Amino acid sequence: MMVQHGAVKGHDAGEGGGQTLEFLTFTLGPEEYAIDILKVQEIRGYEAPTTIANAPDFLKGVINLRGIIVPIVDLRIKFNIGKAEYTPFTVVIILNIGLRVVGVVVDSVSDVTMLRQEQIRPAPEFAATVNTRYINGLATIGERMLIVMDIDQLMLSHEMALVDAAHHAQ
Amino acid sequence: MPIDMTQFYQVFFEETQEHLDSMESLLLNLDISHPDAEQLNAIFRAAHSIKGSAGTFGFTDLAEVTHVLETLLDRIRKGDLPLRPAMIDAFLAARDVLQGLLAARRGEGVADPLQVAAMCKRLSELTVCEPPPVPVVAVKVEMPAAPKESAGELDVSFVLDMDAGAAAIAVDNLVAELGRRWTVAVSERASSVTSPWRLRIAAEADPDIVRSMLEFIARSDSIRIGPAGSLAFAGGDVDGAYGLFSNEVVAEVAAVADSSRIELPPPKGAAAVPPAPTLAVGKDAVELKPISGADGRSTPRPAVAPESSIRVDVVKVDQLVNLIGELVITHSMLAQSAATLDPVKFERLHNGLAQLERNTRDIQESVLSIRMLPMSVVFSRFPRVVHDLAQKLGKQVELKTIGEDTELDKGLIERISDPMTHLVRNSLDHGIEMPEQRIAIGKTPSGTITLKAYHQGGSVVIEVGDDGAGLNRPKILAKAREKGLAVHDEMSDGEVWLLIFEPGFSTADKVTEVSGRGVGMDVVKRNIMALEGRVEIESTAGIGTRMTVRLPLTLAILDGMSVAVGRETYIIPLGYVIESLQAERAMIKSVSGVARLINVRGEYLPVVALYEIFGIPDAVTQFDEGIMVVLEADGTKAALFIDALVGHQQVVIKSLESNYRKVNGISGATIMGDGHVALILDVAALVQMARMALPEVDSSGGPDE
Repeated sequence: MMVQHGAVKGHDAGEGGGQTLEFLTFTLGPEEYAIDILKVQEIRGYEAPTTIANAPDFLKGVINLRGIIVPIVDLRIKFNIGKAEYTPFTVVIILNIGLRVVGVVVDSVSDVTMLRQEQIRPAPEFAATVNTRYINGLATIGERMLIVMDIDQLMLSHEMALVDAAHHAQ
Repeated sequence: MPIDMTQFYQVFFEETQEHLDSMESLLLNLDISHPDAEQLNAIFRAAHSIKGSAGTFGFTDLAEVTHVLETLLDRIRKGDLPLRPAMIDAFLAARDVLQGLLAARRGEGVADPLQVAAMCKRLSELTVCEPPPVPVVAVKVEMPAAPKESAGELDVSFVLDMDAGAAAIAVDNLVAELGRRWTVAVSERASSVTSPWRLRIAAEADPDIVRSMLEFIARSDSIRIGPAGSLAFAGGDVDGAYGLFSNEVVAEVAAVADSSRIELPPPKGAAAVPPAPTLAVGKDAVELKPISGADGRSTPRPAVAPESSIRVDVVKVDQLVNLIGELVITHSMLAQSAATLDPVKFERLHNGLAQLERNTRDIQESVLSIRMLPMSVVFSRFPRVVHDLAQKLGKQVELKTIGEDTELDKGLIERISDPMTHLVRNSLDHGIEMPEQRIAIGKTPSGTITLKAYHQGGSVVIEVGDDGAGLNRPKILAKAREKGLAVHDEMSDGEVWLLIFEPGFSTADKVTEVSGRGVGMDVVKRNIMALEGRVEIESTAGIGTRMTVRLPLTLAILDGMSVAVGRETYIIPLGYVIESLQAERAMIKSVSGVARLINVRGEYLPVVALYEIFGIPDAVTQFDEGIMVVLEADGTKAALFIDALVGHQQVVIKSLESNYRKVNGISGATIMGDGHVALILDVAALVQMARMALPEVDSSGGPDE
């Protein structure tokens, strides 16, 4: 299930002048989200992490990813949507946020989609479960409405509590 | 065309550094009244080699100092001049000047010409009625007439890898250099870039010195030294110890190695010869025996001091450590899957896995040992430090080192040497008394500083001891009061001694160059703490002081005890564990109904229940059903309550913070054999928590240490 960077051509100027970007889409309950595929390192099955004492409930713990200790966040718990069940089909998206590696649990990963810049429209204030601060905009593909998420902002935010306070100060 | 000598600079720097180091240790070991001729020769050779190569490279300042040094040494070793202590000091000082010049050449500082001149003067003054030194490099020696051939003379042949003009200058310098020691003549000038030069040198010449000088300018594989006449024609009989290639091959190799040459001789099987090893690898190339395509003859390279180590980036080693860790985990995963298979049917698989396990463990051990270095790396700098400082202070000190073979992680070695130096200087300055004082109180005039290193459990203990005056308790207390520190007369000695680690604390009566400015000891303590270590002081007035530094073996690996709480596994660093015991109900006391204390053989320790602090479900909650682990951190003890002990193992420490954040009570994480992550407990923080939870306890109930 590895998603390889650069395996699919993208990020070059598409038709209509706007830049075409590639997004990985996943679902959280009824909503469909899209994140920049360059942030995605890989997608893997869920394995029970080692819990960390006194951590928020959405922080499931840490796993060993080929020798690196990686924290796992369940976005379903964080945003209180969907059922936080762990089945053999539960997937974890391993993200590269800056120099950090973080895993997020979502309901399901849908596909990789190309979006042109102008397809992404500003989101209205009440758009989604996720705070608009972490949303870049909305995109429509046929029947589907994709919420384009700023995953960096979300993961480094205070509310995720994934980084030390000192890092926020920087 | 300017010759690019810079490619050889690195070799020069390294070699010179080696010579300087060996010179220093030889000087310090020299018995002044009865100097060992062999040692004097060795010092002389070191100085000489530096001079020779420095001259060749045009590093006049280095050559100048070494020249004077060499002249003096030569006279001493020949018995013309008696060795005096002042000379040793001057030699050491000269070594330092050379070190400075070398650093400047490396681009790590600025050379001070005044210093050079002063040093030359100082050395010259020691050499009574010595003619003024001749500048080395500028001199061009008239080519002497070809010497008469006589048995016992040495023939030297070599190929220079530079154009004719540069080669002529280089050879002139070389001849001038060699000419200082022995009679030298150029018997044959090279006819082209790739053809050999020939020199004839007097019989007394030391082939090793000649070779080492040659190696800076000539292709190292082309140097041949043999009895006069033996090198008369190409490919002729060569002194077995020194020849390597026949001349044609050398020429070809030289040509192949430098494709910018115009005159390429016709290829003659040269392609089969690997590119000539560069000077940098020359020392390692002892086993490299290229076979000459022409006659299939090969001769081993001369026995230059074998280089037995290589420099590797630590990052690479760490990467290797990581990968091996992965291998171990992969193996245990395989073993787990295989365990379900029929042992008879899959016998070979099981055997293979067992073999793999052994090999993996061996690899792991070897890889981890790469990072380990002996303490002698640190200890070796102290003879000099002590010598210089004792000199400056007018004290007599003997340095003893014990346990130099004790191994410690490289990262720790590098970071412990500065704090150690401070401790040694401190002992020398504050501890050891002046000789008169020592005699007055019936001690030997010469004090002793003992450096000792040994393993104890999962840590390395380094002791710096002296037989000096010991710490002055009233003085320290007075000073502490003056600085406004909270002290009282009932403080235990141990507590009083620790005051000297307070910032800005110094009991020295006057500020000296050495110590007394009050910077240092607090930095020492901070540095040691940063290495997960701690420092203790024992001192008895009039008898001496001993500072004990305890360090973990390595920062990368931890000797840990794995314990279970609920379904979780945690690692307790073994260094903090004093004992573990099963508590009985009667041992548990409560204070104010909240905090709990456990009575361990009369000592009341606060209890930290891990399941409570970490909110772990399904854990044992009855104190008499689980295990109490008595821990000690920063001199404070506490009992950690857990479900059960699982085992003892070495774990590789992984940072939790690189991808997550600091978690209170957790110092890091590690990966267990099954691939799962286990968290490492931060014992100091847990013990602290236990103290915080405890209401003000009467000090008699607390641990008194």
